[in-house]
Amino acid sequence: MSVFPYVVAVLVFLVGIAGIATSRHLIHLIVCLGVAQSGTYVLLLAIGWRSHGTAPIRGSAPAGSRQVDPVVQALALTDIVVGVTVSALLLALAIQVHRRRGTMNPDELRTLRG
Amino acid sequence: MHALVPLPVAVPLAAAAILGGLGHFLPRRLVDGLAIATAAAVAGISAVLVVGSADRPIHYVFGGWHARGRVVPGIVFAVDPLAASLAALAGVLTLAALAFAWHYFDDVVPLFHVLILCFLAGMVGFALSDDLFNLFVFFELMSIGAFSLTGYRIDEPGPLQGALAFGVLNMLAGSLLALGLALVYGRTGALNLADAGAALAGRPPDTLVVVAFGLLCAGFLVKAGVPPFHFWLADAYAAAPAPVCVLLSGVMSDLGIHAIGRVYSTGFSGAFAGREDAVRAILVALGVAGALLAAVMGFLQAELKRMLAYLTAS
Repeated sequence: MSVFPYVVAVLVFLVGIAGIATSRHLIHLIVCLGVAQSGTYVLLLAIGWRSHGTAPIRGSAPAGSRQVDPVVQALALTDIVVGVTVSALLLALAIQVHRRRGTMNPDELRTLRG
Repeated sequence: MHALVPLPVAVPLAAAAILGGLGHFLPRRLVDGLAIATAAAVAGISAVLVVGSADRPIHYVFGGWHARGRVVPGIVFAVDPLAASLAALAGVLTLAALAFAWHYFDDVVPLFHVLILCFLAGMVGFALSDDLFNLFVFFELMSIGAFSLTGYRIDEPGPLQGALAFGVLNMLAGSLLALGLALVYGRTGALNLADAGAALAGRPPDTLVVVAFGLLCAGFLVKAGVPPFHFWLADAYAAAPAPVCVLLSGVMSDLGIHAIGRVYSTGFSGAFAGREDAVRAILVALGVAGALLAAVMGFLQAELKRMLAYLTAS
């Protein structure tokens, strides 16, 4: 069993988090959040993989052949939908920030301090 | 009693859909009244569920997809008195928040009510769900409702920044949850907590199980606002309008703790059977350190809502 997909999943997640932490532009930050979420999709799909498995579509493969797990694919799709919703909302907030504060740099938003 | 279980989630979602579609054509007081009636209905139904599940937890399987052999294909809501009372609390606090919003907002479009009802549906589903992925979905629904409401006043600079911080950190928490549940699914082949617990029990936990539990706990602790995962709390509470603050501090953080308790007791208690003391010690240490830190930080705050945030974290 290859560990390559799992390593990739963790790396993508970490790259996304590093991007969020060091971001200087709100759009970049939101896209990095999407990248981090992509790491979770890769992990889900890697777990569903069966070696020598085909696409899990009934009728297109000969009976008795191995198929990859469709449940994780459904989970990944749901995850993607959630990610899209969140990105849309956060981008709307980012547009409002730009319109009202004139800056897209998260470090320059310093209204809330305490 | 069985038929009542999906109602606390379905009713607010249906009401939110109706208000979203028709809200602009209805007078404002009617919209307010409908939302308040929905919240009251949720509180009432949840109270009935508390009484009804007192002697034995109710397991409601959506769509009637009952277990066959070892496979449970359906999504299960497990209603026990604790979960149902949290749902009732969410309903009561939403009622209070909407009543307060009656006069708090001079001009409010029905969007506010739609968001509050979606938030309520997310909270109730999160409290009642017994399926890991269902917990994740309701966690996201709850978070989306919460940070949309936090950023409701877009004309002020504070809420925008607070909502952004809230949104990004809670979505990361959701990703941690997704990683944890992917690992649990990979090991046990089950997303249902009871199934996963049965599959994990009896064997000493190896690294994978410990890591999965750690990831799940981290995700829930961010939602609960326990230090060291609390950095989004102060900005979010200071930014949210007062009716929303009621909901955030009153019940959302408690739901995070409840989720940890449910995941542990149903899912992982068999696996960690010999090491309960270690798990308890870690959680207690985290709780005590967090409470002390949050209390000190709260003492230093000048603004009331931020003080409330640190109180909640404590």
